[in-house]
Amino acid sequence: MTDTIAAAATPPLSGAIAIIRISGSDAFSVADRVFRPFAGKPLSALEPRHAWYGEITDSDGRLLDRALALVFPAPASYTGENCAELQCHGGLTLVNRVLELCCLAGARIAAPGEFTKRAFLNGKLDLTGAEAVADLISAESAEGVRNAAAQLSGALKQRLDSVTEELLDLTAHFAAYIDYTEEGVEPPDLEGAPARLNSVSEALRGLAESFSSGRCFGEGVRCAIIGCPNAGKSSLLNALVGSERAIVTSIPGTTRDTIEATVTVGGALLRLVDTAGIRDTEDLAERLGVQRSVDAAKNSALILAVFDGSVPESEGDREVGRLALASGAEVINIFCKSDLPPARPTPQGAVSVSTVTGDGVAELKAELTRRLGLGSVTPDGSLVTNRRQADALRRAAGSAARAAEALLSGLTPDVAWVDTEAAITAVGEVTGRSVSEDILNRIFERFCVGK
Amino acid sequence: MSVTPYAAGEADVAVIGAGHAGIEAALASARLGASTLCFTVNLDAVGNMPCNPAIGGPGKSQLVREIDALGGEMARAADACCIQYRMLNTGKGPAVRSIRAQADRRRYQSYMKHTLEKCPNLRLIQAEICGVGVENGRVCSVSTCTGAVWKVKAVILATGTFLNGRVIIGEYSRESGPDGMFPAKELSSCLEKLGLPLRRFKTGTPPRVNRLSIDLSKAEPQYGDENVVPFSFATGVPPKNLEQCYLIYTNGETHRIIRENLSRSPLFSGEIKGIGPRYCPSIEDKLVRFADKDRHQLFVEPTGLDTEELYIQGLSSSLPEEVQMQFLRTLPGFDHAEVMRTAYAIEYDCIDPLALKPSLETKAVSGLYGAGQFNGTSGYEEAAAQGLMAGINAARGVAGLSPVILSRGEAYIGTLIDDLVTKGTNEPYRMMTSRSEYRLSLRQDNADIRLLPRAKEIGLARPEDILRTERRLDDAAAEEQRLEKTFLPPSERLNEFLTSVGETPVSTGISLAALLRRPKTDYASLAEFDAERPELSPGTVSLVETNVKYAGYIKCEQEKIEQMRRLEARRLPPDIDYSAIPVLRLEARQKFDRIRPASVGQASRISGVSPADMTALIIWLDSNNREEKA
Repeated sequence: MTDTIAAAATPPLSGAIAIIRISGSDAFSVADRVFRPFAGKPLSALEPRHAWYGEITDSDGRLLDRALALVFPAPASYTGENCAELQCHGGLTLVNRVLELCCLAGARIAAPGEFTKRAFLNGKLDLTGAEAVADLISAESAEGVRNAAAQLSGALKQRLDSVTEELLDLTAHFAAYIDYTEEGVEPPDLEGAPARLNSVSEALRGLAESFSSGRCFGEGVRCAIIGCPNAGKSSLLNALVGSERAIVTSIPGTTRDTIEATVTVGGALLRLVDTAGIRDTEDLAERLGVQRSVDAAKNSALILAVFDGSVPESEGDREVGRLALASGAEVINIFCKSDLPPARPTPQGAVSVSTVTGDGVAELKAELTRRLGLGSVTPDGSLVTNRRQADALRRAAGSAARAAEALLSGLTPDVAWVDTEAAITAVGEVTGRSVSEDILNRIFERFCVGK
Repeated sequence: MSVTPYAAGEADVAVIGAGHAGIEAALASARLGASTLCFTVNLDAVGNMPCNPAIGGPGKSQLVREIDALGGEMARAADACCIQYRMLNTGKGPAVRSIRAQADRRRYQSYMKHTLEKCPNLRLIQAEICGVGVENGRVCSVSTCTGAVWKVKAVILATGTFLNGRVIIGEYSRESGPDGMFPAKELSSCLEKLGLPLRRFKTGTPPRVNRLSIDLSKAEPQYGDENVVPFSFATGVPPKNLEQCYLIYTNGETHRIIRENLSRSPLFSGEIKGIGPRYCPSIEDKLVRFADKDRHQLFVEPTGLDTEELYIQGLSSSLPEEVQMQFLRTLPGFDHAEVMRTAYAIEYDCIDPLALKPSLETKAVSGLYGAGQFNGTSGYEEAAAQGLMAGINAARGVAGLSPVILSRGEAYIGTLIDDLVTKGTNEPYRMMTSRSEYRLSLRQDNADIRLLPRAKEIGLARPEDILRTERRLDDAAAEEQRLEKTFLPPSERLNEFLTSVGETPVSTGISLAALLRRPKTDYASLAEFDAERPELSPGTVSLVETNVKYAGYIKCEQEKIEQMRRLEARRLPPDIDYSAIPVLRLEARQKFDRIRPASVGQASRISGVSPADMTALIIWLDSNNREEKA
């Protein structure tokens, strides 16, 4: 017996279609109470895994939506439990209303990742699968969905396998040379090894770094909007968000200081963070707010530095410029209020925008797309879209580079060996391959050792 | 006519076998105060080296040093009886430096036999054990074929290749132990009845020739080291090199003869069913697997000072005697070689080590332990290491103490036993440095120091050895501190030196430790800049040098060891019903159920268990705990 959970399986954006998933022992009875098929029988009595057309009605029998519904009896379902899916029209109010009905019918709202966790616990997914599905769930853009799907088929695995091969070759050679020291194993090419290790390291680093562009599709790029008070930050946020029909979310506890919103630009997901205005102040509360703006800037991959073009440059503007530069992030300078008479010229490379007339908003989006480097990125599945994987690959790259460095600086091969092994282990965290047996097998495959 | 059993007496521990495992087991048990019996099929087989007359090598010499640190005998015996020493892997780094020494076989045997004979609490008896008695799941007796029944509380099986041994030479085969000894024929069926899963492994040994019949002037001599480093930390005066080895190669003619006779090899005809070790292939196996190699190297090794018998390392074979004779004579200087012992393969019964606990006690019968080749390993050093631990744990068990289980982070011995009881093995298991993930910490030069707390806990090491180790520990620590705190001003002489070894010169003051950490310097070469250097033994110098030079790497490794310790600390309840965890893949379910890992750490090392299985197990444990609490 499991309790029955329900949630929207589609992202909380206003799309054309929303999918509501119900899973658990009572999934069918919940679905039967919410959905009435035109076929005249309860959904649970109709053929499973077929889409049935019907009505979603509320407890008073009032029609909410016409929808499709399917049932998946256990264990042949996504979670391994009895599952039902309702495909209704998009729109947050409607989705929330349907979920409410499900709860009245005996379900509860699922915790984040709970469907995947159930699928995992019922043996429906392995770890890589589970992570890719988590990405799939959080992928709020079309490219992200494609990327997550490709990952399930192991495109990333394939690239990593060839890196592992190279590392195994080197490591097995070190091992054979050391453990079979009297048995005529050719010494490894210690002069050529650093170059091989460095190219392995670069390949791994490249994959790890694809995390940042992978993130554009998956969890989104953090983008801080900074500027002096009244420079036009909030209007800019609304201009960007409004046209993309994204939701503005308040972050609990920080409502006074930062506002976050998501918006898709050129297929990439941006997490816009509106910050408190930056100015030198004695007021303690305001200083705290300013500090948060500084922190937000530092934690962002992209910064929109906003200036009021209708007033002369202030000390605050210079502070904004310094802060943007110091953050190390990509910076786009935006001069707002282009509908007013300019008090200073718009510098080279900056974008001039009017949130009142909408002038320059399209140019800004083009610039955003260009800066994110998305024009050249194909989400072919070899991108790393998950922080754990990126982290493991970064460690692997570091180990391989360290091994190369050790050999170059004249340290003994036992030390380099430790690092090549560490690199294989770290890659194995992503691919799930175990190390030690692989190395031994390679030794016996490649070298004639044995007394 | 059946034998009438009689009550022969009582003892705490009975050790079956007096090879390298049995010796350490019997000595450890008796020295820890347990009255101990040690049975051998033949008293002249005590401490025999039926294969390579050598001790040590990569990974193995670390084991020997650890045995020494814990109070075992092998290192001392080796230093008393070895006739040539070499330090291997000197240029490849401190982690993998290893001692290898040629032993005088007979001297080693008599040293060990005499040590057993002199040991208080210990009786050495020639007899074949045919049965182990069990009452209520506990060992209670052993019986000899001649009717003696000994009441005992614990039994250590150290049967080597004697258990149901069968020797194969080409088309010929017979029931036999190693070196023409009687096999132990009765015991296997008794052990199977007790529920021990037995399997068949195989190993082999090369031919021996008379030195006077061959011409070694064509061979390349391999001399011992000028400065011999002994195995035992207690050995004061280093042993002398009294003999040398020789290097020769096989040739096209050797290969032709072997290839033409492959069909007569029992390995390829299917006559041999036991599984042999990949790292100890027969010459015919090497030719088949590496067909493109036009020569293979062989070492000609002395077997003792009082004999002309030579061992041909690398030429193990189970081809017929006639073929062996032919291909031997193709070797350079071997035209008239006289074979003294024919090469043979030997098959024997052993246990699947997954049936053992980390204490080396069997899961099926309490008080029954296994050690050495019986546990699926190969090699004298591996055997001795397990014998030592089985002896310690049997004696502790009898005394009501908990077993001592060394971790992978502490010792190669811990790595060896963990590999056996967690991963099992499909071939005779040999220790190598690649088996350890903590090589830079588990070195032979620090075995005494890293195992000092264990040596004290176990109580087998002599008080003078503990004192010496404590002194060495203090000396090394003081010297490491001194190196960190002594600063040299930049000087012309220093910079000249640095430039000459290929290091960048310094412009500010630098500590001796920082200088030593430069890849191209060493302790010895810094002497001229270090007037206040204390007098230290070569062993302590090597220890200090490695600790300082590789400090960064060692620290990383220590962090990994600490992480592992945390996983080990997450104990798995012994009564988990793995078959009822749907989230686990079937393979993982079966493996957990069979091996019953003691901790999350051990579970994660089981072969075929994926990170996903571990995540699943941990999530399952977590959610179950939550449910229990709720």
